[in-house]
Amino acid sequence: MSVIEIKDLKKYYGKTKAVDGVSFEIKKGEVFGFLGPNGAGKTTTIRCLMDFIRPTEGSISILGKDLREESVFLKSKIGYLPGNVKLYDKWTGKEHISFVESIRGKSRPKADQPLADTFAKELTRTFGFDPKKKFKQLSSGNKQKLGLILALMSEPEILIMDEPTLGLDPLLQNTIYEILEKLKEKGTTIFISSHNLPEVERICDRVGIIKDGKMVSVEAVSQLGEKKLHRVQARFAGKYDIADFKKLKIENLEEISGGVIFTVGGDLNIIIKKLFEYKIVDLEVSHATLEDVFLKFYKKK
Amino acid sequence: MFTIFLRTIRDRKTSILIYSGAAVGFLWMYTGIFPSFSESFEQIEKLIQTMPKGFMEAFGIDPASFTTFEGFISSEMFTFIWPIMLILLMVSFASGAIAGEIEKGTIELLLSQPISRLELFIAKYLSGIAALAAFVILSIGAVFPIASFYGIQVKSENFFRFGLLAFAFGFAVFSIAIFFSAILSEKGRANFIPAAVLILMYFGNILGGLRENLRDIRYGSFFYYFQPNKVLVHGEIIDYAWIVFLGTGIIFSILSVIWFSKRDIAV
Repeated sequence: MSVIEIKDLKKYYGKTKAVDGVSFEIKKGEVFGFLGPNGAGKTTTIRCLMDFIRPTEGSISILGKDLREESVFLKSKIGYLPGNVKLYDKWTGKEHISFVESIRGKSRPKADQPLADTFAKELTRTFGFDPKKKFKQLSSGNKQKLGLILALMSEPEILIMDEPTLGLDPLLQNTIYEILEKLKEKGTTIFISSHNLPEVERICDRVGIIKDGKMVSVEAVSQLGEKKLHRVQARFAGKYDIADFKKLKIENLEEISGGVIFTVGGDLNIIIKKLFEYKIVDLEVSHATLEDVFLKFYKKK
Repeated sequence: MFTIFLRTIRDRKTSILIYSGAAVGFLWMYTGIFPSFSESFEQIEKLIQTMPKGFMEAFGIDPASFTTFEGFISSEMFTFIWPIMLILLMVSFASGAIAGEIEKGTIELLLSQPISRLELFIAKYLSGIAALAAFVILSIGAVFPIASFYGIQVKSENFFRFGLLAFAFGFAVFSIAIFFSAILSEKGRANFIPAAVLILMYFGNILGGLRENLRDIRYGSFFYYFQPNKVLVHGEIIDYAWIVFLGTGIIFSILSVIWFSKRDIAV
């Protein structure tokens, strides 16, 4: 059964088509990544999904119920993390947690925990978050932590997250990935928007790719791997022959001082072998940006 | 819903207490002045008789304004200072309740909770009405202990009636302000527009009192129907005052809730 089903979703602001005919389904226990460059329509789709804004056309059903008609029931099943966590400056983290608890009820303590303990407290410890500080005193990373605690504390059946690791350090990003993996094991359905390809590859089962308000592709993450692009920058100790690289299946080849820079898709081994024919003084291999991936694979769509 | 209601009141309690405290302070000051002022009644009455009738009507002054405690306190405080304080409190409360939450982005936390927009609106709305009730009760109710402290007799029934009229006036002001808060997304604009409407009403009422050919524009002003002097001195309320205040309040409240339930909220 589909937990989230969006059919032909359109959201127009006058002549601007923010979302133009997006359709997809997410199954129970699935982690679905919503990938697209900035301004593609990810946040507008999420706002429609949270019933903050109303679609111009199309339908959204969650757990088999119409979102507009069953909004209150469905929100009791959804944990939401906005793209940019904005909370009350004068409230402490604890006050925010108590506020949400008083609306949603306290999460149940686990068997091995004292009665007074809740999932919110467990999350607070996991994230190393100080709940006594006022929101305005928190760093951007800690603000994001509080947003995550509020989204996760009621152990929702469905999680909707807009750029969940934005502004977080790699250690905390890993903590979040681990929490999401645990929630997935429990059967939580997770919808994540991102423009970070490696992040989506790590945690998602399937990916929907949106561009200019239109869904250009919905694929399994394994298929996305074939479209992986790397950016390679190498500097050599001695002379090298640029013609050697022109023969390879690489793109955007440029000569830089003492070396080359290019992008390459698919298997890296052939390229690495070729590079090691020379004496290397510096080598940098990084993931290509999402924009590069879009330029290569989705430009025409 | 109750959580949001309580939380809103808690967040705004300082401003409610400051406005109410300031109003009580003014009330205390004018009540304290009244005994020494009453010693000069005869000269004041003579001075008032020399004033143009239109001017006196426009500013709600009659001879009893300076010869009775009720007239004195209404012309010194309840005709001008008190309505301004009430308008400032209600407009700022209303603009912060919805447009302010949208502007700051905090509305997303509220909208993502399992409560309907109707419940959210009612929680915010009732917190504003509670703030209004607190301000009216404290700032008008304080007259009884303060007057008693100075040994001044007051017409209790007139003050009670004035309290009800003041609440109705505040209800109309708050409903207009919450309407603009419900349809706009910036606190500044939600403050400015209702404030501008009320300022226009105020000057419209004065202009209508001063110029015979503009007399009818007074009927479009809340300040024509809100005449503390008439209520406190004579126990009279202008015809249609209840209909105007309660009718305006109810119509704008209904429009606000319909608009807020249907609108897009993007922070």
